Amino acid sequence: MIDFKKLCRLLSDYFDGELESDICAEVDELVSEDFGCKVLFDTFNKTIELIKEMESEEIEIPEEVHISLLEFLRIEIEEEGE
Amino acid sequence: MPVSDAILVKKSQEGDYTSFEELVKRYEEKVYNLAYRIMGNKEDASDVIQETFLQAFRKLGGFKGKAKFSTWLYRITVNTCLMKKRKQKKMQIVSLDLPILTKKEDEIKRELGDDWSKSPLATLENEEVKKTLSKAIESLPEDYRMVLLLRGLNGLSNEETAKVLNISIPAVKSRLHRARLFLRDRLSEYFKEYGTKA
Repeated sequence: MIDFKKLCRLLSDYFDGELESDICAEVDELVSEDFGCKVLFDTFNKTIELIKEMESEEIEIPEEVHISLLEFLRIEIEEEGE
Repeated sequence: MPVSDAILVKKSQEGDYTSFEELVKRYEEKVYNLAYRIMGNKEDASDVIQETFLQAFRKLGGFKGKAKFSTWLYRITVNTCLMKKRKQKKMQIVSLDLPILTKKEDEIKRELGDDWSKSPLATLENEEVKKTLSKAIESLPEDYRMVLLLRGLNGLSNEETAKVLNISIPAVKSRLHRARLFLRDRLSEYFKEYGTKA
């Protein structure tokens, strides 16, 4: 039987799709019946969404960094080959 | 159809520098993003990508293709970042077994009436929320932040993340979960203080 404490431990597995379906159903049932559990469940889910959104913001590699990287590698590798 | 990593690696190992350069161009953005988020600034991230690809070139002969090239490359990136941080003496010393700085799961209190998840303010368009989350991620111990970055930013699986960090899959899952709980706590504190109404 799942309770609040157990729910805390299962949340990532639930949202990452790694829980077995019968346990998922137990989680769903608990969340639908217990407001405190629902708050935890919803805010945890929202946190994952916000993290994903933040991580999806790609930092573009500056052009000068790209150019100096290629130059640096050519020089270093050429020197090592000599 | 683009040439696979495996073919580019093989050609690079045979001495074809153009193929190696193709691998660099293919992964420089990902490596830069990872380095930037670990190091926290452009200058260090630039140094890290140079060192990472140079190391990759030097070690490429020993790459047997057991792991994906990208996994192998991210491992070099993470190690290069950690070495640089150690040199800068900014490294947070955190034992892998040390409990995370947040509460344990069973210490989380039931927060009746504190549901901020549906608030119109709970969005990254809200600069304060974005700043709160960003600061919370930065304050995570390195071990946890790395897992969060690799799983999220670079889209690695638990297994790949475990290989990059040389830890077990349960350790990856545990750190990811604790990191998320910690971030949720920080966001809950923010909304408790500033409210959820626009």
